Amino acid sequence: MALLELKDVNVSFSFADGTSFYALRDMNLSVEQGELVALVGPSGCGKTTALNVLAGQVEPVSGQVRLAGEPVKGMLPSVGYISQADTLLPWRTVLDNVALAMELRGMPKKERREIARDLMAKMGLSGFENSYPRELSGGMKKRAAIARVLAVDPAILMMDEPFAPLDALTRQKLQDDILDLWESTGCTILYVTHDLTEAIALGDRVVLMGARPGRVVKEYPIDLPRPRRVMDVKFEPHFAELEKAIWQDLSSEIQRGEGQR
Amino acid sequence: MKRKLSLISPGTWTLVVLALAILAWEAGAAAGAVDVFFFGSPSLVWAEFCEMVEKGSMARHLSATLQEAGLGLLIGGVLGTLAGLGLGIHPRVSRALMPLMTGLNGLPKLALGPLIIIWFGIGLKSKVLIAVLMVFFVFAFNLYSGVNSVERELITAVRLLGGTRQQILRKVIWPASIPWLLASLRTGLGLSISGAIVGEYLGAGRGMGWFISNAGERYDVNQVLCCVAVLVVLVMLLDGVVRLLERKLLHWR
Repeated sequence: MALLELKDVNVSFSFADGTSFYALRDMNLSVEQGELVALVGPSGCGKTTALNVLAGQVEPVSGQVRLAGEPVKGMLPSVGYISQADTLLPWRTVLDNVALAMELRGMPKKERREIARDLMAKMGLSGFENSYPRELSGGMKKRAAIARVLAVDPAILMMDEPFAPLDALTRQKLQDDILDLWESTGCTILYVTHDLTEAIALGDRVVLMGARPGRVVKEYPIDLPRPRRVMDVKFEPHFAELEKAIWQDLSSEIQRGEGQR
Repeated sequence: MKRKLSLISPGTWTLVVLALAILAWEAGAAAGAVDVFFFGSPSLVWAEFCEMVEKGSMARHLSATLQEAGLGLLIGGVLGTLAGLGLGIHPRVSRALMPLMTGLNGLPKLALGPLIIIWFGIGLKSKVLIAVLMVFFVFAFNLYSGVNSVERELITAVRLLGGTRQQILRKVIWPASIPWLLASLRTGLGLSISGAIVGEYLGAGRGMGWFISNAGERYDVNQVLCCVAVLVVLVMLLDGVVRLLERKLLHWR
């Protein structure tokens, strides 16, 4: 049974002039326990909307979100959400930022700081406990944001183009960190990206979405060997084949989308 | 002495310009180029200051004004902050009340003076009320803008981490509003003192405003200038204190 599912989900948004459109139309998606699924598609295809429905931030017109087979409404109890934006609270030290989710759950200060310190060490942030977010590089801020959601052991990590604003080198390091994290903890990750290389390098499965209306067009199992390193896996011949196959479908989706506008 | 200077942080050039101006004024008065009856002179102002301190009238009037201004700032600041936060987090209420608030703020508070004196007498209450009216809107509008300028992404992120509405208010909106609160405090300081002085002008038995107005009626230019100078220095010092507070509270920026 799938850990998390979207079942025939429809989402529509309306404009100020009264017209509306389907951001998602009969969207079906399932994520297995311990799976790393990458969601790709042309911009504006509803990737983020799908993630927001799963996270309980957008309510579908019809259809269901299911957690372990049970329909759920509203916010999932245990989701770690990482977005593109820098969302550390600037007036808190990095340590207190990492401890935030535990603080919100009422964990005592000493205990949560201890856990936060350990997590920071694991994420390579030791020595920055008392720094403020503005003193950190973009990559380090991302690491702190990841540590912040890991602190409460989320059942599933949802990442929405988390590394898009970073430079290529930092991005690749963080992608390797995600692989490390996933391989060592066996957590479940749903990863939204527009970067095909990233999607294939990380994912067990790449799900391609099409635009207007947003829905799943095709899925591709990624049978590259594990454990992976982004730099190594990128140069495997099979990687190129996969990328070419997905790219052809993606570019025809993009063309179809542009033809409609 | 050094610490006080850094509290005002006037910069060397400000001091030089000020010293030159005072020197020119004094020289002009000594040479007879400046009519001392109408424009006073620095040495006479200083003599007036020493006399006022000696006789205790400075302490008497300054303490009255500071009490009125302090109470006005405290009450107006707290009420304004609560109003600003409340309006900021309840968009529907603010849509109804904001136009009203803007209208009331546009009203010249001086025009309300006679009414306030009639209703509340010439004691402490009327001065505090005028100071409150001056200060309240600054805090209310600033805090309202503060709440509205909190990044949506921060609120969403904390909600996704499991934050309740209460927690978002306490841990995101409130700390994000602190810079706006301190900015209001800096503006409010001067305004609360102005409010107290205006109140004393309209009718009082003591206070710097009342004293200045009396001195003016007696054509005692040096006494007026002395009181004005004291108020200016006082506001600068208090502003310095708030700036130190800012540096301490906002070091994360």
